[in-house]
Order: sequence, then structure tokens, then C-alpha cells
Amino acid sequence: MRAAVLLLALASVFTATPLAAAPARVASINLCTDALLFELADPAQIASVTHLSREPALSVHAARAQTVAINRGRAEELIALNPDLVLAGAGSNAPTITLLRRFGYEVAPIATAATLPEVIAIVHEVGALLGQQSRAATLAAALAALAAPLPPTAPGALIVQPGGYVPGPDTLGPTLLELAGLRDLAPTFGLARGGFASVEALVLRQPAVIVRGTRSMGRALADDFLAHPALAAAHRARGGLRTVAVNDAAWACGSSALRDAVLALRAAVQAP
Amino acid sequence: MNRAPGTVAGVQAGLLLVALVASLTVGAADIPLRALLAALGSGGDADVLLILREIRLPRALLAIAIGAGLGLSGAALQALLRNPLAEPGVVGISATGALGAVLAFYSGFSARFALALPLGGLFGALAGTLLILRLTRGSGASLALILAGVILTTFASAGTSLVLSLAPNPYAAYEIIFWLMGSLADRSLDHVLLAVPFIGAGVWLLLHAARDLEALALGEDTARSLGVSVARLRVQVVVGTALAVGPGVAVAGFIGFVGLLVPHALRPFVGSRPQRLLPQCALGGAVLTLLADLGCRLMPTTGELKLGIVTALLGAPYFLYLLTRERALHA
Repeated sequence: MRAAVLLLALASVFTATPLAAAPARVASINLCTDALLFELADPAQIASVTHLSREPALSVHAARAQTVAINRGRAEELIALNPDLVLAGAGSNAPTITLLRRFGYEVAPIATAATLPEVIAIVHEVGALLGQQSRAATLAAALAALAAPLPPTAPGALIVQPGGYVPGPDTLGPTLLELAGLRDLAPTFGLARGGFASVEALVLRQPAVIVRGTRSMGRALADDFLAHPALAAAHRARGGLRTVAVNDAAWACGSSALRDAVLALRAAVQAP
Repeated sequence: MNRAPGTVAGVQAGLLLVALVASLTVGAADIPLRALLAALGSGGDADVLLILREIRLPRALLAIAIGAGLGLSGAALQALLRNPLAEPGVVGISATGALGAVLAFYSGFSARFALALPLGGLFGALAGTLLILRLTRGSGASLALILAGVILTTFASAGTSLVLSLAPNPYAAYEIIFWLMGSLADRSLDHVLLAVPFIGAGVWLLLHAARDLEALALGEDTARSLGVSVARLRVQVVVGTALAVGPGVAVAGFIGFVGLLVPHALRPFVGSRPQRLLPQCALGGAVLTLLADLGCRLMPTTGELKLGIVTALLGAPYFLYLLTRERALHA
């Protein structure tokens, strides 16, 4: 009898060992870890995501985020939530991570991916943390299948965000273009590290394709950048500067939406 | 040392021409002069011609029109208020114009009705001009005018920042600097068409007020005895200033001090009589603004310097100088 009680007690100790079990309730305090949580976790595992994920302009999971508890990334909210694991952005949530760890919470800082191999590595990493290795392997394989050598005849393209901003190599922008079979012209604009393009430079160097975002919230002068009449006139005259819209939110993070963005861009470029 | 007005106008027109040619040759893209000249002839590069016609020319035209409006309204306000420190920027008219334009733009109204943008600037400037006249009524004292201007500018700029911070678009907050500091970067012929007709009407009204303003310089009673309706003149200058300043602010933001620098720079050459001074100030404002805009493009900054920064760097020290000189005169 006593031996049986001891055995039961021992068994409960073993099942409580954190390494052995998948975390039951996971919170995310970064838009990109939100996306991976939605794509890899069991629905019951998702304790909370950021409020940003409910914004359709920022997240492809906005509809699902409506049904999930949200946070604003503040330590207080998370302590009240008491999750088994917190997924955080390695670069953006440093003070919160320090604070949560001081309170004894398990926090996983996840790096921001800027290349396809990085995206795949992060998918495996988060999958392992969530105890969802097989789902992660499936997603990683689907993403790896996007890789294709860039043909020498690849048309030149430039991603132009509001205000003329061209994203740099610290984002997935250049990766998106390469995977879609387009040559990133940012370096020829002197924007190899990202920065603002001018209308004059666009008219003069005329990339075959301009990739812009699909949606915007309200009005801003920055949104009118690509509406400059000189660009339309140059397009009419020489056929360059073809504008293709791809949802910014789909390639902002290394998740399954990146695949959708690449396929959408490939289809749009090949369409007549 | 009053020179013949024709000579001064000739010199200014020459300067304007040089500045115009320079601003067509300098831009974000480095295009050699030879390519620019070739583009004007037949067989030149079509893209270079496009850049000249659609980007650099509209920008220069806007600088000329906006500068003319600012220079002229500065001179007219100085004559009407009989105060040498009056200027659309200093007295708060540019700031209220910016607030009006910001409301028209970020509410989405101007997306449905393009003229809402210059009209927003116009009504904002009109409200500012009426307020400043009301706040300084009966007192030509510099201190009252400047304090009223500071308060109006502070309030309108805070309102502009608030509207932009409340706008749902995350980029809007970054556009505070455009509205408060002004810029002509990447403006187009669309902006020329939106602003220049209004500015032209304002310039016309103000130039036609010159004769009555000259009579007003002799005092209100004398002006009345000469058959000038002071009330009508006031309305004419108010509406003219709002037209000459507001729509310009709506497409290029707040550009300060042009209306202060230009009349003071020209008085030694053409004298203080409004009939002589006002037309010269329209020309001088155009020259100064075009040169300042050229300066923005030539500064070795990352990204382009805002136009209002250049005019403030020139104008603010000059304003201080005028203020200390006036105090010395009254001491």
C-alpha cells in the first residue's frame, strides 16, 4: 500500500517534468511568433496572442485571432495569464523577457527570419518548443519546396512600401523577390541596406515590376507615393514599372503565409 | 537709395530664371547636364524628359507660386497691420492653414473630392487671419501681434499633431514633420493644378489692394478722406492672404519666414510704398523659395532636407535681429 502511494507520487513527479511534456498553455507577445503559434500549435494550446494579430492589415490570421485572448505584450498581463511558455521576439521584447524570467516564467526568444533557411530553422525550433514536431516538419518541407535557382533572365523588381520605402536584407523582402523568380534591384538604387527610393530614380531605372502592399488603414501622404503621375506616364511609354500588389502581412513573418505570398507574386508576374 | 523699380524687377527676374534653370538640373536622380539638354531636343531620352516635365518642373512651379504668395502676403499684412513683424508664418496663418488641410486629407474627404485639400488649407488660413485680426484689434503693438501669433501657431500645430496621431494609418504620425516643416519633394502637376489657381487669385487680390494700402499708411482717417473703405480693404487683404497662403500650405506644408525676409530685404531698394513694394515682394518670394528648395536638394543629408527648415534657418535669426533693432528704436 505504502509502496503504491510512493509509486504514484513518483509518477506524478515524472509527468510534471517540463522537458517531457508539451506546454499546455502558450502565450505569444510578438506578431511573428503569433503566426507560428496559430500554424503549429493545437488550438487548445493557444493561451494568448498580441492585439496586432487581430488587425487584417498586419496579420493573415486576423479572423482566428478574434476568437483568441489577446495581449499587448506587457508583463503584468502575462503574469495574470500564467502561461506555461511565452514566445517572444528576440529583438523586440527584451525588457519584457527579462521581467518575465525574473518571475520564473519560461520564455523562448525567437529570432526574426530574413532568409528561407532561417525561416525553416525557426519553424523547427518553435515546433519543438510546442511539442508539434511533425506539423513543423510538414510546414518546413512546404517552405523548402519554394527554393528555386534564379534564372539569369529574371526580371528586375523592387518592393516599394508607403512613402517609397524599400525594405532591406533584415526583412524577408529580398527573399520574397528571389523565391518568386525576380531579381531584387534595391542594390542598384543604392538601397542595399533598405531606404527610401525617389520617383526620379524609379522613372530613370524602371524596374520591370514594382511590388506594393495590398491594403492600408485610413489615409496617409505616404500611400500616394506610387500614385505620382510620372510613374504612370513612364509605364505607358515604356511598359516598365508594372505594379503588382502582394499582401505585406503575408511576407512580414517567416510562416506558412510566406508561401502564399511567393505563389501569389509568381502568379501575378506571369499573368499577362 | 531707391533704385528704379524696373531695375530691381529686372535683377529679380534674372535671379528667378537662374534659379529655375538650376532647379531643373538638380534632383534626386543624377542626370548629366548633357542628357538634360539632349532630352529637350528631339531624339533625347524620353525618361529624362519625363522627369523634367512631371517632377522637376511642377516642383519649381510650386516653389514660385507658393513663394510669391508668401512674399506678397507678408508685405500686405505688414502694411495692413502697420507692423514690420507681420508674416503669415509668424502670425499663425500658415499653421491654421496646415490644420485645415490635415483635417481635409486624413478624414478621407480629399480622396473623394480633390479640391477639399486646397479648400481645407484656404478655410484654415482664413480662420487664422480673422482670428489674428480680432486678437490684435486696436493694437498695432508688436508684442501683442507676436504673442497672438505664437499662441495661434502653437495651438494649430498641436491640433495638426493630434489629428495625425489619431489617424488610423501608422504612417500618418511620421507625416507631422511634413506638415510642420514643409517640403516640395515628389510633388506633381496635380498639386500645381490644385494650388496655383487659388494662389493666383490671392496674388491678384493683394496686388489690387496696394493702392489702398498706400493710403492706409497715412492713417485710417486720411485713408477714409481719400475715399478708401478701410473695412473693405481689410476684407480684401484677409481673403487675399488666405487664398495666397492656405492652398500652398495644403500641398507643401508650413514654410515660414518667406513673408518676413522678402519685404525687409527689398525695402532698401524699392522703398516702403506698397504700390512699389508689393509686386516686387511677389517676385522676391518666388526667388527666395525656389533658391531655398534648391538648397534642400543640395544639402548632403540622408534623405532630403525639409524646405521649412531652410527658410527657418534663414528667417529666424533675421527675425531676432528685427526684434532687437525695434526694441533699440523704442528704448
